[in-house]
Amino acid sequence: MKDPDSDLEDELSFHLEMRIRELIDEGLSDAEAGKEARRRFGDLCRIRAQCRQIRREGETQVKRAAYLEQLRQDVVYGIRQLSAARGFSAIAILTLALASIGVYGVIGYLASRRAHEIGVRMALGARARDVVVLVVKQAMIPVAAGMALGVMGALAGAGFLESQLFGIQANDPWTFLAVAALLAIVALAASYIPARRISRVDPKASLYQA
Amino acid sequence: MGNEPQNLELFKGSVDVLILKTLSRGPAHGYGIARWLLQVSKDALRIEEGALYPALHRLEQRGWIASAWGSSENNRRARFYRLTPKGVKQLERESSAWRRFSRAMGRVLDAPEEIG
Repeated sequence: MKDPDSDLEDELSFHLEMRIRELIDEGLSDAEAGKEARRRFGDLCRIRAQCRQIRREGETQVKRAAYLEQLRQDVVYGIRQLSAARGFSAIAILTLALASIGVYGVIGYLASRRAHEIGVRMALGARARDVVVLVVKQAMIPVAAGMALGVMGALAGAGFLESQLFGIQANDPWTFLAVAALLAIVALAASYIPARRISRVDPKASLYQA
Repeated sequence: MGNEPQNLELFKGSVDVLILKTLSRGPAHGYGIARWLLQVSKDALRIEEGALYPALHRLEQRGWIASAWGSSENNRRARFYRLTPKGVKQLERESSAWRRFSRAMGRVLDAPEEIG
Protein backbone atom coordinates (compact mmCIF):
# COMPACT_ATOMS: atom_id res chain seq x y z
CA MET A 1 0.00 0.00 0.00
CA LYS A 2 1.30 3.41 -0.98
CA ASP A 3 1.38 6.39 1.32
CA PRO A 4 -2.21 7.75 1.57
CA ASP A 5 -1.19 11.33 0.75
CA SER A 6 0.37 10.36 -2.56
CA ASP A 7 -2.65 8.12 -3.27
CA LEU A 8 -4.83 11.18 -2.81
CA GLU A 9 -2.63 13.23 -5.16
CA ASP A 10 -2.83 10.47 -7.78
CA GLU A 11 -6.59 10.29 -7.46
CA LEU A 12 -7.15 14.04 -7.81
CA SER A 13 -4.66 14.52 -10.65
CA PHE A 14 -6.15 11.56 -12.52
CA HIS A 15 -9.48 13.37 -12.49
CA LEU A 16 -7.97 16.65 -13.75
CA GLU A 17 -6.04 14.92 -16.51
CA MET A 18 -9.11 13.02 -17.70
CA ARG A 19 -11.13 16.22 -17.77
CA ILE A 20 -8.40 18.11 -19.65
CA ARG A 21 -8.14 15.33 -22.22
CA GLU A 22 -11.88 15.40 -22.82
CA LEU A 23 -11.95 19.20 -23.16
CA ILE A 24 -9.11 19.03 -25.70
CA ASP A 25 -11.12 16.44 -27.63
CA GLU A 26 -14.00 18.90 -27.61
CA GLY A 27 -11.72 21.40 -29.35
CA LEU A 28 -10.24 23.55 -26.59
CA SER A 29 -6.56 24.50 -26.68
CA ASP A 30 -4.24 22.93 -24.08
CA ALA A 31 -4.12 26.10 -21.99
CA GLU A 32 -7.88 26.69 -22.13
CA ALA A 33 -8.59 23.07 -21.27
CA GLY A 34 -6.32 23.21 -18.21
CA LYS A 35 -7.98 26.39 -17.00
CA GLU A 36 -11.50 25.10 -17.57
CA ALA A 37 -10.74 21.74 -15.89
CA ARG A 38 -9.43 23.47 -12.77
CA ARG A 39 -12.42 25.81 -12.72
CA ARG A 40 -14.82 22.89 -12.85
CA PHE A 41 -12.88 21.00 -10.22
CA GLY A 42 -13.03 23.76 -7.62
CA ASP A 43 -10.44 24.76 -5.05
CA LEU A 44 -7.84 21.97 -5.14
CA CYS A 45 -6.19 22.98 -1.85
CA ARG A 46 -9.49 23.03 0.02
CA ILE A 47 -10.60 19.69 -1.39
CA ARG A 48 -7.25 18.10 -0.57
CA ALA A 49 -7.47 19.42 3.02
CA GLN A 50 -11.03 18.12 3.40
CA CYS A 51 -10.03 14.65 2.21
CA ARG A 52 -7.11 14.50 4.66
CA GLN A 53 -9.32 15.69 7.51
CA ILE A 54 -11.84 12.93 6.76
CA ARG A 55 -9.07 10.33 6.76
CA ARG A 56 -7.69 11.56 10.09
CA GLU A 57 -11.13 11.42 11.69
CA GLY A 58 -11.54 7.88 10.39
CA GLU A 59 -8.21 6.83 11.88
CA THR A 60 -9.16 8.31 15.25
CA GLN A 61 -12.41 6.39 15.21
CA VAL A 62 -10.63 3.15 14.38
CA LYS A 63 -8.23 3.71 17.30
CA ARG A 64 -11.10 4.47 19.65
CA ALA A 65 -12.95 1.34 18.56
CA ALA A 66 -9.79 -0.74 19.11
CA TYR A 67 -9.38 0.74 22.60
CA LEU A 68 -13.00 -0.02 23.51
CA GLU A 69 -12.63 -3.57 22.21
CA GLN A 70 -9.49 -4.03 24.33
CA LEU A 71 -11.34 -2.70 27.36
CA ARG A 72 -14.26 -5.06 26.73
CA GLN A 73 -11.92 -8.04 26.48
CA ASP A 74 -10.20 -7.03 29.72
CA VAL A 75 -13.52 -6.80 31.53
CA VAL A 76 -14.65 -10.18 30.18
CA TYR A 77 -11.31 -11.69 31.19
CA GLY A 78 -11.57 -10.14 34.65
CA ILE A 79 -15.07 -11.47 35.21
CA ARG A 80 -14.02 -14.91 34.01
CA GLN A 81 -11.07 -14.91 36.41
CA LEU A 82 -13.31 -13.84 39.28
CA SER A 83 -15.86 -16.56 38.56
CA ALA A 84 -13.09 -19.15 38.19
CA ALA A 85 -12.06 -18.57 41.83
CA ARG A 86 -15.45 -18.00 43.43
CA GLY A 87 -14.40 -18.45 47.05
CA PHE A 88 -11.47 -16.11 46.66
CA SER A 89 -13.60 -13.49 44.84
CA ALA A 90 -16.36 -13.70 47.43
CA ILE A 91 -13.89 -13.04 50.24
CA ALA A 92 -12.36 -10.11 48.34
CA ILE A 93 -15.73 -8.51 47.59
CA LEU A 94 -16.98 -9.12 51.12
CA THR A 95 -13.81 -7.56 52.57
CA LEU A 96 -14.15 -4.47 50.41
CA ALA A 97 -17.84 -4.17 51.30
CA LEU A 98 -17.09 -4.52 55.03
CA ALA A 99 -14.35 -1.90 54.76
CA SER A 100 -16.73 0.49 52.98
CA ILE A 101 -19.52 -0.05 55.52
CA GLY A 102 -17.05 0.39 58.37
CA VAL A 103 -15.63 3.61 56.99
CA TYR A 104 -19.11 4.94 56.27
CA GLY A 105 -20.31 4.07 59.78
CA VAL A 106 -17.40 5.59 61.67
CA ILE A 107 -17.04 8.75 59.58
CA GLY A 108 -20.79 9.27 59.43
CA TYR A 109 -21.11 8.84 63.19
CA LEU A 110 -18.28 11.31 63.90
CA ALA A 111 -19.82 13.88 61.54
CA SER A 112 -23.33 13.54 62.93
CA ARG A 113 -22.04 13.92 66.52
CA ARG A 114 -21.06 17.44 65.62
CA ALA A 115 -24.69 18.57 65.28
CA HIS A 116 -24.53 20.66 68.44
CA GLU A 117 -21.26 22.33 67.48
CA ILE A 118 -22.56 23.03 63.98
CA GLY A 119 -25.68 24.57 65.50
CA VAL A 120 -23.51 26.92 67.57
CA ARG A 121 -21.40 27.87 64.56
CA MET A 122 -24.48 28.60 62.51
CA ALA A 123 -26.15 30.53 65.29
CA LEU A 124 -23.01 32.68 65.33
CA GLY A 125 -23.38 33.31 61.60
CA ALA A 126 -21.43 30.58 59.78
CA ARG A 127 -22.88 29.82 56.38
CA ALA A 128 -24.11 26.30 55.60
CA ARG A 129 -21.51 25.91 52.88
CA ASP A 130 -18.59 26.79 55.17
CA VAL A 131 -19.81 24.35 57.78
CA VAL A 132 -20.09 21.48 55.31
CA VAL A 133 -16.62 22.18 53.91
CA LEU A 134 -15.17 22.27 57.44
CA VAL A 135 -16.74 18.99 58.51
CA VAL A 136 -15.74 17.16 55.31
CA LYS A 137 -12.17 18.51 55.48
CA GLN A 138 -11.67 17.45 59.07
CA ALA A 139 -13.15 14.02 58.40
CA MET A 140 -10.53 13.51 55.69
CA ILE A 141 -7.64 13.68 58.20
CA PRO A 142 -8.24 10.24 59.78
CA VAL A 143 -9.24 8.92 56.36
CA ALA A 144 -5.87 9.95 54.88
CA ALA A 145 -4.02 8.43 57.82
CA GLY A 146 -6.03 5.23 57.47
CA MET A 147 -5.31 5.07 53.77
CA ALA A 148 -1.57 5.44 54.34
CA LEU A 149 -1.64 2.63 56.91
CA GLY A 150 -3.82 0.54 54.62
CA VAL A 151 -1.48 0.89 51.65
CA MET A 152 1.51 -0.08 53.80
CA GLY A 153 -0.33 -3.08 55.20
CA ALA A 154 -1.50 -4.15 51.76
CA LEU A 155 2.01 -3.87 50.32
CA ALA A 156 3.36 -5.96 53.18
CA GLY A 157 0.63 -8.58 52.76
CA ALA A 158 0.65 -8.63 48.98
CA GLY A 159 3.38 -11.25 48.89
CA PHE A 160 1.01 -13.84 50.34
CA LEU A 161 -1.46 -13.29 47.45
CA GLU A 162 1.07 -13.65 44.67
CA SER A 163 0.42 -17.38 44.28
CA GLN A 164 -3.34 -16.77 43.82
CA LEU A 165 -3.02 -14.24 40.98
CA PHE A 166 -2.56 -14.69 37.25
CA GLY A 167 -1.77 -11.97 34.76
CA ILE A 168 -1.53 -9.27 37.41
CA GLN A 169 1.01 -8.23 40.06
CA ALA A 170 0.00 -8.45 43.71
CA ASN A 171 1.05 -4.81 44.14
CA ASP A 172 -0.65 -3.59 40.94
CA PRO A 173 -0.73 0.23 41.28
CA TRP A 174 -4.14 0.61 39.55
CA THR A 175 -5.76 -1.84 41.94
CA PHE A 176 -4.35 0.06 44.91
CA LEU A 177 -5.54 3.35 43.45
CA ALA A 178 -9.01 2.00 42.70
CA VAL A 179 -9.51 0.60 46.20
CA ALA A 180 -8.22 3.81 47.80
CA ALA A 181 -10.47 5.90 45.53
CA LEU A 182 -13.52 3.80 46.40
CA LEU A 183 -12.92 4.15 50.15
CA ALA A 184 -12.20 7.88 49.76
CA ILE A 185 -15.52 8.36 47.95
CA VAL A 186 -17.31 6.42 50.67
CA ALA A 187 -15.67 8.60 53.33
CA LEU A 188 -16.55 11.80 51.45
CA ALA A 189 -20.17 10.75 51.19
CA ALA A 190 -20.21 9.64 54.84
CA SER A 191 -19.13 13.09 56.05
CA TYR A 192 -20.89 15.20 53.42
CA ILE A 193 -24.37 13.73 53.77
CA PRO A 194 -24.80 14.21 57.57
CA ALA A 195 -23.00 17.58 57.45
CA ARG A 196 -25.39 18.89 54.83
CA ARG A 197 -28.41 17.55 56.71
CA ILE A 198 -27.33 19.21 59.95
CA SER A 199 -26.46 22.49 58.24
CA ARG A 200 -30.04 22.69 56.97
CA VAL A 201 -31.67 22.22 60.36
CA ASP A 202 -32.67 25.37 62.20
CA PRO A 203 -29.72 26.19 64.54
CA LYS A 204 -32.09 26.62 67.47
CA ALA A 205 -33.35 23.04 67.15
CA SER A 206 -29.85 21.56 67.32
CA LEU A 207 -28.97 23.81 70.29
CA TYR A 208 -31.94 22.63 72.34
CA GLN A 209 -31.28 19.02 71.39
CA ALA A 210 -27.95 18.95 73.20
CA MET B 1 -23.48 29.75 -16.19
CA GLY B 2 -25.66 32.14 -14.24
CA ASN B 3 -27.53 29.35 -12.50
CA GLU B 4 -24.41 27.55 -11.30
CA PRO B 5 -24.34 28.70 -7.65
CA GLN B 6 -27.91 27.50 -7.13
CA ASN B 7 -27.06 24.06 -8.42
CA LEU B 8 -24.07 23.96 -6.12
CA GLU B 9 -26.16 24.66 -3.05
CA LEU B 10 -28.74 22.04 -4.00
CA PHE B 11 -25.97 19.56 -4.58
CA LYS B 12 -24.46 19.76 -1.11
CA GLY B 13 -27.21 17.83 0.63
CA SER B 14 -27.71 15.31 -2.13
CA VAL B 15 -24.16 14.38 -3.12
CA ASP B 16 -24.19 11.19 -1.04
CA VAL B 17 -27.30 9.74 -2.60
CA LEU B 18 -26.16 10.73 -6.11
CA ILE B 19 -22.87 8.90 -5.62
CA LEU B 20 -24.60 5.80 -4.23
CA LYS B 21 -27.02 5.81 -7.15
CA THR B 22 -24.19 6.13 -9.68
CA LEU B 23 -22.29 3.25 -8.09
CA SER B 24 -25.38 1.04 -8.05
CA ARG B 25 -24.79 0.68 -11.80
CA GLY B 26 -21.32 -0.77 -11.20
CA PRO B 27 -17.86 0.26 -9.99
CA ALA B 28 -16.56 3.63 -11.16
CA HIS B 29 -13.75 6.11 -10.48
CA GLY B 30 -14.43 9.67 -9.37
CA TYR B 31 -14.19 11.07 -12.87
CA GLY B 32 -16.60 8.46 -14.19
CA ILE B 33 -19.11 9.40 -11.49
CA ALA B 34 -18.83 13.11 -12.35
CA ARG B 35 -19.30 12.40 -16.06
CA TRP B 36 -22.29 10.13 -15.59
CA LEU B 37 -24.04 12.63 -13.32
CA LEU B 38 -23.59 15.42 -15.86
CA GLN B 39 -24.77 13.21 -18.69
CA VAL B 40 -27.88 11.84 -16.95
CA SER B 41 -28.92 15.17 -15.46
CA LYS B 42 -28.41 16.83 -18.88
CA ASP B 43 -25.83 19.19 -17.34
CA ALA B 44 -28.28 20.39 -14.68
CA LEU B 45 -26.11 18.95 -11.89
CA ARG B 46 -23.05 20.89 -12.95
CA ILE B 47 -21.16 20.93 -9.70
CA GLU B 48 -17.67 21.45 -8.40
CA GLU B 49 -16.29 18.13 -9.51
CA GLY B 50 -13.69 18.11 -6.75
CA ALA B 51 -16.43 18.10 -4.11
CA LEU B 52 -17.08 14.47 -5.03
CA TYR B 53 -13.85 13.34 -3.40
CA PRO B 54 -14.42 14.36 0.24
CA ALA B 55 -17.88 12.81 -0.15
CA LEU B 56 -16.46 9.58 -1.61
CA HIS B 57 -13.96 9.25 1.24
CA ARG B 58 -16.63 9.91 3.84
CA LEU B 59 -18.94 7.30 2.32
CA GLU B 60 -16.07 4.81 2.27
CA GLN B 61 -15.46 5.34 5.98
CA ARG B 62 -19.12 4.75 6.76
CA GLY B 63 -18.76 1.43 4.96
CA TRP B 64 -21.32 2.24 2.26
CA ILE B 65 -18.76 2.06 -0.53
CA ALA B 66 -15.36 0.36 -0.89
CA SER B 67 -12.43 1.26 -3.10
CA ALA B 68 -9.61 -0.50 -4.88
CA TRP B 69 -6.91 0.67 -7.28
CA GLY B 70 -7.26 -0.58 -10.80
CA SER B 71 -6.48 0.60 -14.27
CA SER B 72 -8.74 2.93 -16.18
CA GLU B 73 -10.06 2.66 -19.77
CA ASN B 74 -6.84 4.31 -20.97
CA ASN B 75 -4.60 2.17 -18.73
CA ARG B 76 -3.99 4.79 -16.08
CA ARG B 77 -3.84 3.89 -12.38
CA ALA B 78 -7.22 4.93 -10.98
CA ARG B 79 -9.16 4.39 -7.78
CA PHE B 80 -12.42 2.55 -8.38
CA TYR B 81 -15.31 2.71 -5.96
CA ARG B 82 -18.07 0.16 -5.63
CA LEU B 83 -21.23 -0.14 -3.55
CA THR B 84 -21.16 -2.44 -0.50
CA PRO B 85 -24.27 -4.35 0.70
CA LYS B 86 -24.63 -1.72 3.45
CA GLY B 87 -24.49 0.93 0.73
CA VAL B 88 -27.29 -0.75 -1.21
CA LYS B 89 -29.57 -0.52 1.84
CA GLN B 90 -28.50 3.09 2.45
CA LEU B 91 -29.33 3.98 -1.16
CA GLU B 92 -32.83 2.52 -0.76
CA ARG B 93 -33.41 4.52 2.42
CA GLU B 94 -32.04 7.77 1.04
CA SER B 95 -33.74 7.62 -2.32
CA SER B 96 -37.16 7.02 -0.79
CA ALA B 97 -36.55 9.94 1.60
CA TRP B 98 -35.57 12.15 -1.35
CA ARG B 99 -38.63 11.15 -3.36
CA ARG B 100 -40.94 11.95 -0.45
CA PHE B 101 -39.17 15.28 0.01
CA SER B 102 -39.33 16.29 -3.63
CA ARG B 103 -43.02 15.29 -3.89
CA ALA B 104 -43.79 17.43 -0.84
CA MET B 105 -41.81 20.36 -2.28
CA GLY B 106 -43.67 19.96 -5.57
CA ARG B 107 -47.06 20.01 -3.85
CA VAL B 108 -46.19 23.19 -1.98
CA LEU B 109 -44.72 24.98 -4.98
CA ASP B 110 -47.61 23.96 -7.26
CA ALA B 111 -50.28 25.01 -4.78
CA PRO B 112 -52.66 27.66 -6.14
CA GLU B 113 -51.72 31.13 -5.04
CA GLU B 114 -55.17 32.23 -3.95
CA ILE B 115 -56.71 30.63 -0.92
CA GLY B 116 -60.34 29.58 -1.00
